[in-house]
Amino acid sequence: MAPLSKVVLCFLLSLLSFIVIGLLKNAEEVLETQFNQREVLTSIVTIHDTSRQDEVIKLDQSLYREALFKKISPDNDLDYFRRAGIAAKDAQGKYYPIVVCFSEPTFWQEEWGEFERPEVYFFCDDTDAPEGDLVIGDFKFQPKRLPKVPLLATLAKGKGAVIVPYSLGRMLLTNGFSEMMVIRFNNIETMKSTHEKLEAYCAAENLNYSLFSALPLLMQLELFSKMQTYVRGGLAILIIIITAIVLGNQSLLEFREQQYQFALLRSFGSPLPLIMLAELMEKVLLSLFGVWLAYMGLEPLATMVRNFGADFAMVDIKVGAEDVRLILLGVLSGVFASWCFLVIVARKPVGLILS
Amino acid sequence: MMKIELKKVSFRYPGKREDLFHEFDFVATPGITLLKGYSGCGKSTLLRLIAGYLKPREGDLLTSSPHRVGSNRYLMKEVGFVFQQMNLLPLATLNRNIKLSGVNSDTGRRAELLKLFGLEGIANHRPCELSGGQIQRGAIARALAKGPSIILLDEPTSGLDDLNTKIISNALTDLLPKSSACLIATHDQRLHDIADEILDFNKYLPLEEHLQSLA
Repeated sequence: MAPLSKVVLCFLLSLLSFIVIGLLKNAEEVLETQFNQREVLTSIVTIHDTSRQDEVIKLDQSLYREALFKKISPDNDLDYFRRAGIAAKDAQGKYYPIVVCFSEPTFWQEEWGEFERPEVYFFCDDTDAPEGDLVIGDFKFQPKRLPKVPLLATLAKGKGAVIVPYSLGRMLLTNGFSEMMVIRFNNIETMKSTHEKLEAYCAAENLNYSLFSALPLLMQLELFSKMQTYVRGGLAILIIIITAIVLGNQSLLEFREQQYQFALLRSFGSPLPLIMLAELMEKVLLSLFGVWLAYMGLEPLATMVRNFGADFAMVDIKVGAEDVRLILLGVLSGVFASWCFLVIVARKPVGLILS
Repeated sequence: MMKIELKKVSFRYPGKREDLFHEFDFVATPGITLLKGYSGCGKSTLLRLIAGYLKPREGDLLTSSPHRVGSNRYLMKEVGFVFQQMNLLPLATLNRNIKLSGVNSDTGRRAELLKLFGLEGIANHRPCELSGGQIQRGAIARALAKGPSIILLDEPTSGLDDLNTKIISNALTDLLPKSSACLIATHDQRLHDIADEILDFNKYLPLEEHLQSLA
């Protein structure tokens, strides 16, 4: 067979492998990006201290818990809020939850700069923004209105919320409170381990808590990702087998076609190992050229697919060095296997081949 | 002076039950020896045994070469072999074919051979562009290019016209060194003129026995 067929064969096999592996990887990356955009790595823990202790003691214990939890997950963003047992009322008689903040929330700095104290902040949408003062207990406040933050909207179940700094809100907490902790994790592993610690602590302290998290779903996705890894490994093995079989068969055909020429060269005194080595080098070089062509063709192919329309806009076929090594290993293993076969059959005595 | 001696050599092809040669003795001396006999009587096999392409089952094959029979150096330096057909590498030109086999041949020697065999105008042609006679002349030129001491030709003029046969006969008598041993397996009566010795294989294997072995 012509050398071109070897190049084309390796090119097509490698291209197919690169596409499959690249698309799997692409799908995984897209999912990961979407997860990160939708803050699925965020957990919300609500704790209710149902013990019959004095509220001041409960607050001290709550402050201790906050410090403890920040130690438990030092690498993650952790916002600790306390929701007062009483609510704020606007001029129309609507009630809004009050969140007392002991420290500056992590979202504050990037949104509004310094956390001003003492000030009452009212987070609401422009459309339902009530006019006038807010009444908290026996006091009236002129709050600073700010647009609703998604995080607070989650905590306040979609309604507006009032944030009060600790210096103003401590007294409000003496009427009872619940604690809310929002943790944004960097990865699933940290999320999992922190959850385990939190749950162990809350169970040990006999706290009434609820945990809102996408971890079970993420664990399933992680399982899916692991399965994907297995599929990629299996695919690589499959490629090795296909390459070995196809190139082996090609070698057999080639040998049948060329055995007379090999024998003729041997009849001149050319050593068989040298002839076989030259054959191996030719196969390796042509195969590597085919793989290289496939690798270089990936980006133009992806661009071509993206040009088909918006549905394909996310298509990106990028393969990492590890995947390239895997394919190279597959192709070279196939080449070597086919060459070994050739070495075995080429040992036939020259005198039995030449006539 | 090249001398080839077979002492009690036995040989049989794989899968065969009987020996083609059984305790066969043979001596070849410098000069041209013609091997004649029925088809399948073992003329070509004898040439292959002497070249080292086949190994005898028993017995000794001795030559005056310092290299072991069948070794790469022996084939490279001592042996020039011309097969009955498909002698040239199909993808290489005639010139390249001669260059490939002749380790000792230089450009001048190649040019001389090509001229003597009437091939100088087609030196850069591939075998598929040559006639049967040209291919066979090219093959003999290739065998002689390195100046071998053992030249083995298997039916070199089979199917060739008188002109081609004459060119080959002349070239062999002109180019063959006096110290070389040349063995030609042939049925061709036209080569009798150049032979120093004619060995009739039929005397080793009578016709009746030969027909029985073929059956």
